[in-house]
Amino acid sequence: MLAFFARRLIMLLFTLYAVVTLAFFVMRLAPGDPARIIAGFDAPYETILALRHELGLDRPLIVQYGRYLAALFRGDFGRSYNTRRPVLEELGWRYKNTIILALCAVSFATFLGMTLGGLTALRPYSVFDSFAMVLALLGVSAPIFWLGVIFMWVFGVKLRLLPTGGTGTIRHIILPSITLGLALSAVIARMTRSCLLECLGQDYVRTARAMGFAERTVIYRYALRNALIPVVTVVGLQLGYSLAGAVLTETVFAWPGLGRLLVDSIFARDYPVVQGCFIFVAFTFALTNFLVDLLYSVLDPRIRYR
Amino acid sequence: MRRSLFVVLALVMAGWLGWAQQYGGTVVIAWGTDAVRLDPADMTDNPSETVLRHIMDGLVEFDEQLNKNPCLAKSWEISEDGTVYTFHLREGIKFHDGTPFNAQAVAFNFNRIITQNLRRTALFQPYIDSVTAVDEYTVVFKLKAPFGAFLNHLAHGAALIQSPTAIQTWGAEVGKHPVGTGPFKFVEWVPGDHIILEANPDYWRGRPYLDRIIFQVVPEASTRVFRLESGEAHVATRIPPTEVPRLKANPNIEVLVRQTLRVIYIGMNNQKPPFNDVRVRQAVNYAIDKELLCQSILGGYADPADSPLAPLTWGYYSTGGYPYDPEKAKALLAEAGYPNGFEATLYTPKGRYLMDYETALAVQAMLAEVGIRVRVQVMEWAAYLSMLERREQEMFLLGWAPSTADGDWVLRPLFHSANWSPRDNNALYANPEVDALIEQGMRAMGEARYELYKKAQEIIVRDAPWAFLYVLKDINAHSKKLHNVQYLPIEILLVKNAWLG
Repeated sequence: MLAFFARRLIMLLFTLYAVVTLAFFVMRLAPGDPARIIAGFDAPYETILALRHELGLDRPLIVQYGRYLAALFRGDFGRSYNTRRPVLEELGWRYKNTIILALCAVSFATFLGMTLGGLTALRPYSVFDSFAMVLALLGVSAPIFWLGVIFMWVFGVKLRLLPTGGTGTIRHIILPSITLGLALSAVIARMTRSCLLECLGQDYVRTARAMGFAERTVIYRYALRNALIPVVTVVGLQLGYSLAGAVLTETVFAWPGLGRLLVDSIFARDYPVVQGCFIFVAFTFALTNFLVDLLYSVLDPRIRYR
Repeated sequence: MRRSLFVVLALVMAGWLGWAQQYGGTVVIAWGTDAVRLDPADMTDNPSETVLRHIMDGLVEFDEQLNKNPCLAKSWEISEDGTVYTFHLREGIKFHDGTPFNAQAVAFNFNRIITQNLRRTALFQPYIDSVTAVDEYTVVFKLKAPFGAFLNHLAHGAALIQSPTAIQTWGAEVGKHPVGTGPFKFVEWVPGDHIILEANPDYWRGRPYLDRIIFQVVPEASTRVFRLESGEAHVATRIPPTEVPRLKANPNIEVLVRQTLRVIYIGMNNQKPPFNDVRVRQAVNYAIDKELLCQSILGGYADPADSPLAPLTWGYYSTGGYPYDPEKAKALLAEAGYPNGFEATLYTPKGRYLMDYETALAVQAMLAEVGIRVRVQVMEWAAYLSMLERREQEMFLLGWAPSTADGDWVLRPLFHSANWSPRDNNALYANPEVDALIEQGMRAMGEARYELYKKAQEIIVRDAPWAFLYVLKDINAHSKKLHNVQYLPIEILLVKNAWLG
C-alpha cells in the first residue's frame, strides 16, 4: 500500500511538472504581448517598454522558464502581471470558492442522478422511466449558460426567492450549484440506471432472491453496491469536469472562482496566473482520481493496490 | 413675500416627494470588471480610476462637460512662457488618515510619479522638470517646455493626490490601501468580488449623502441587468443595447445614454498599395454609410464621426466629414486606376467594442457595392494588437478614446509620423505639415492651440488615413431611487454626489 502511495505521488509530481511546462510554453507561443494588454490601450509606448522590462519579458524564453521553475521550487508562484499581487493570493480564495461550488454541484448531481437512476431502473420502460430519461437528456444538452439565465430570471427577478448571484450566504450557492449540478446529474442518472439494470439481471441477485431476502436487502446490499463501482468513476470524473463547467457557471452567477480568473488571465496574457491556475486544476484532477481509486477498494474488497 | 412663501412651500412639497437630497443608504454598483490597482499613479484601467475618483481628489477636476475646474487647488497662475504653473491650495484639508494636505504632499505625489517607473509615469515624466513646495499651500510645477494639455493631465485620474503617509507606510502595496482626501473612504476589497467605500464625514465640501458604496463584479451583462431589475443593485454598467427596450419599459429604472470620447474607425495602411493612394482612401470613406451604421447596426447608440476627435474631446472641430456617396467613390476608384475595385483584408476584434464585428460585416457589404472586395478576419484582442505591431495590416477596425480628454492625446500618438507601429500610428500615416501642427499644438495655449488642431483635423480628414466611422455612446442604467448620478465622457460613472430618495 505504501509503495502504491509513493508511486502515485511521483506520478502526481511528474504530471504537475508536465502541466507547468506545457502551460508555460503554450501561453508564450500564443501571439499577444502581456505588457501591451496591461499597459492599457491608450498607454504611451514607453510605458509598454518599461513594463516588458519590469516583467522580464525581454529576457530569453529559457531564462524565464528557469527562473520560474526555480521560484516554484521555493513555493513562489510569482506575482500577477496585472494586479502585481502574489499569484497564491489571487488563487487562494477563488480556488476555495470553485471547490465549494464543484462539491455542492456534484453532491446535488449525485443525489439527484442516483435517485432518478435507481428509481427508473426499478421500473424500467415505465412512463416515469421515459419521463426521467428525457429529462436527463435535456439536462445533458441544455447549455449551462442558458439554464443559469433562466433560473436567475425565474427565482431571482420574478419570484425574488434567491439572489441572482454573488457570494456571501448559503442562499447564494443554491442556483449556481443546481445549474451546474443538473448537467452533471444527467450522466450519473443514466449510468446508475444502466448499471443497476445490469446487476439486477445477474445470477447472484437471483440467488439472493431465491434465498428469500427482502427486496430492499437484495437491492441495497447486492445489486446497488455492485452497480455503484462504475458510478463512482463517473462521479469522480464529473468532479473534474465540474471544474470546466464552473467557468460558465461562475461567469453567469458572478461567482468569484478559479474558472473565471483563468479565462480573464488568458485574455490578459497574465502568464503567472494562468500557470498557477493550471497547477491548481491539475492537482485537483489528479487528487480526485486518486481518491476514486481508493474508494474502489472500499466498494469492492477484491481490488487491492500494490 | 407671498411669492417667497409659495417657493418655500413648493420646496417642502418637493422634499416630501423625494426630490430633495437625503442622507444615508448604501448603493450597490454592478459592473463587469474588477479594479486592478487602487494606486492612481500605477493604474491604467477604467474601474480602478472610477473607484479612486470617489476616494481621492486632484488639484483640478473635470465636470460632466469636461471643463477643468479648481478642486484641491483653489486657483493657479501660468507664466508668460507657459513653463511655470503656480497652484494655490485649499487650506485645512486632511487625508483620511489624518495627514494634512499641503504643498509637500502634492510635491511628494508628483515626484514619486516622475522619478519611479510606474504605469502612469509616461503621462508626466516627459515634460515635467520639477515640482516644488514653495510654502505650506503653494506648489510650483516647472515644465521642460510649454505643454498646452497640462491642465488636462492634472485632471486625469493618474493625478489624484494620495496620502504621502500611506505611500510611505505601504510602499509597493499602497495599491491595496488607498487613502485620499475625497468624499469616500476605502473600507475593504475582496478581489474579483467587491469593493466597499464609506462616507467621509469630514469631507471638505461637506459629508456626502450616501453612507456606503459597494462596487460588485458581475461579469455577465444580462446578470447585471437582472441585478438591477431585482433591486439587488442600484446601478448596472455597460448595458447591451438589446436589453435597453426592456429596461426603458420598467418604471423603476432610468437608462443613461451618454456620448463618450471613443471614435471607432477603420485604419488603412497608408504605405501599402492600393491604400497609399489618397483617392482610394477617400473612396472608402465615401462608400461607407455612417448614418446607416449608427442607426441600424448600433441601434442609435453612436453618432457619425467627422474627425478623429470626438465632439467632447478638447480641440474638436467639425470638418463635415465624408457624406455617403457611392457614385463619387466609384469615380475616385476609377481615377486611381481601380475601375473594377480590388481585394483587401479587414481585420477586426469581436466583442471589444459595441457591435465591432457586425460593423465590419456591414462595411464589407457597403464596400462590395463600389467593387472593393473585403475579407473580414476576426482576431482575438491580444493577438490583434501584436499583429498591428508587425505593420502587416491592410484595413483594421479600432477605437480610440483619449483618457486625458485632450486632442493632443489623439493627434500625437495616432497621426505623428514618429509614432508608427509598434507605437499607435497603425495606419502608418505621415504628413510633415500635420507633424508640425501637432508639435506646435503641444507648445501653444488656448485659442491658438485650438486653431492649430482645427487645421490638423482638416488636413487629416482630407488625407483620409482612416475611414472615420462613429463616436460611441455608453449605456448605463440605475434605479430611479438614486438621484444625481454623474457621468464623465471619459467613461467614468460617479455616484459621489448622488443620494437615495
